[in-house]
Amino acid sequence: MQRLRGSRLFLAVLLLVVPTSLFAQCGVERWSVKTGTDADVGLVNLNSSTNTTIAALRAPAAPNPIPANNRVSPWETTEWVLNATLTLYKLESDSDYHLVLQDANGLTMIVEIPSPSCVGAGSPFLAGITNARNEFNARFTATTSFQTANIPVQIKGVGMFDFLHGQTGVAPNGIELHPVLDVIFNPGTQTPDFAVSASPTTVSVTQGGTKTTTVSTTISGGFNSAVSLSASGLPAGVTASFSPTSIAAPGSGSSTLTFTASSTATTGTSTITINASGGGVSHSTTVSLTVGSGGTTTQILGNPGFENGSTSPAPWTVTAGVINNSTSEPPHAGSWDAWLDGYGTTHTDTVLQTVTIPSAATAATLTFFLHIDTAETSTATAFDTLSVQVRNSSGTVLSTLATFSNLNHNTGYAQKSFNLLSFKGQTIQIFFKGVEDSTLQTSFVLDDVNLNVTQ
Amino acid sequence: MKKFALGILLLCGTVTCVLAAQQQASVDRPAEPNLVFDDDGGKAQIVPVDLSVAGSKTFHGGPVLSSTQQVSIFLGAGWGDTQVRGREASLLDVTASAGDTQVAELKQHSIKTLRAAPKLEDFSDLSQSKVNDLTIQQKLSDLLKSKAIPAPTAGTVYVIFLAPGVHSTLGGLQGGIDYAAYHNFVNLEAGEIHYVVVPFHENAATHSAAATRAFAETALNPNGQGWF
Repeated sequence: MQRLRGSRLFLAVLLLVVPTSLFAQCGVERWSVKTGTDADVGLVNLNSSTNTTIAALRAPAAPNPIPANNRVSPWETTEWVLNATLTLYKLESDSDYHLVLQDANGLTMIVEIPSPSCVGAGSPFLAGITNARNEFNARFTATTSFQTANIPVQIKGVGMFDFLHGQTGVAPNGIELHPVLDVIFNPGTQTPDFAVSASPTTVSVTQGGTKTTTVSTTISGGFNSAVSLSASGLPAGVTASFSPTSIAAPGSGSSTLTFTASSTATTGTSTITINASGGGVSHSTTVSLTVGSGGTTTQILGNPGFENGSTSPAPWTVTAGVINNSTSEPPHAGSWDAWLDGYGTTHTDTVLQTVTIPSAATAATLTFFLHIDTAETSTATAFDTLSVQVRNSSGTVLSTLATFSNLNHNTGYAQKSFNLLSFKGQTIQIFFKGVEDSTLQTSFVLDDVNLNVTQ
Repeated sequence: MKKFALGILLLCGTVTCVLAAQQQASVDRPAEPNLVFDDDGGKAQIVPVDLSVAGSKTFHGGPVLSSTQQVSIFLGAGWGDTQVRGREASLLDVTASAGDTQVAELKQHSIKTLRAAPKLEDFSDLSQSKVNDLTIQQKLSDLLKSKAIPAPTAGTVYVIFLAPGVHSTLGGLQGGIDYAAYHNFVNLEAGEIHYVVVPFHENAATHSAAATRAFAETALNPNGQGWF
């Protein structure tokens, strides 16, 4: 998405210049069934998979009529696993990846990976679609023309009868796996595995209080097992609980981890290890947990959600055009946000606020919500970056808390959290700096920036 | 500011040409004459810009429509202009002005043409974006849900006349450059929808002729497997 500012002339010019492909469009026909927002999506069993073949999927007659917003059981309520050869692939204008699979007898069928941006937030398929899209992108670059391939694949996806429109590679009955939820290239050569992460990775809790973080798992290589979760390294007086206690098979999902500190919990910062185990595989990640003494917590930043609007952003100091209320980059909450960069040209935006953390603080936690979208396609190079820094009142960098980039792009907002207790008694600048290179936009969108201080 | 605007326009012209060239170079085409890939993986049939290129039709086993009824949708703010709007009357029943070839083809296959339904005018401003086939399908879905246009019968053909300034695209092809009109179909909750899209043409006769031919080919080849 290109950033729209200034005159209408610029808007008109931009629309002429920018390729249509940058404005992702979504499909229409049976789109709810294709992406899992239909009336029957609850009938789809994602807890187990059924092996099948192209021949078996091509066997049933197409239903007549094909329902627009409902499913045909069992074909459209089953998660199928299919081994075949990928022969063609293409990016369609509805943002789908159109893949043609072929079996040893030359029988073909289509499987499609929608764009996650075209999938409703409530879809149970969203995590799988995102997973499959990432897996495919790591191997191929789909364009608007068909490209050939010849690679064995194992595809996991939900059946869907499409209407016959002369699609390339279509099965005679129109059945597809749509959406695809997992792709394994050269199956049998990869080890089933998963990864675990937490967000935020820094959590502050006061004595007598509770705080949460989200633990997420993603799978690869055909991993298909429940993943159990546990926490270790807790300070005395702190308990940890997961909801749910395990991630259901195939092992991709999230769980809310709640830390509960008793009124006598040991204060200080601890590294908590989150252990995840399933299918004979174990991994761990860590969360920094700070327990503060009981007290009053106050949010000390002014205009934290940028709701004062663009004409009076104070006490924030911002570069031109950052304060935004357009629907192009909607806020996390309220009406306004801070939109850094997004031009697709060499550009730097900054947002800063000067604040004093009281010397009596027992906890000081900076949190904010961050959304990143990008036109960059690299999965390896950080072309555009957002630095989150603490500076002194003269602008000298005291600490770079984090650097985000186009590689961290996400579909919604994610909350970030940082412990600033080490700056108590100091007057500091909370400083966000977005730097964009000469081409392909990346938008860094901030909202609801809070500095919670307990004393 | 003026220098800025001029510079941007020059840049725009250059980049647009480059992009157009890239787009042209990368568009896949199926083997069948006048069939093209649409925006979600299927095929649609176009009327070439050169209307004299008709070619003979052969039968590929699919159905034809036994009757047709035109539902005209005048889409885009440009139709609000008095002079442009004056053209609407001549487009409301494209079979009335059908050429001998189209009339003969429809008669040959016993396709009846019913009296055209009342028109719909939708003066949405679409001039600043490209209107591809997915946009058209979504618009039809919205209009049907709001009952702004009659629900489809087996013979209903929605004919969408795009206003001047609306940039039509189909599977990477561009209206007015790669096609004069096209027809396609989509299945919505209301049922199977057959529709024709006609980009605006300065020449009224050419405009009407393109619409007529796409309408006739909708009847003869409604699902891509009939006569083409």
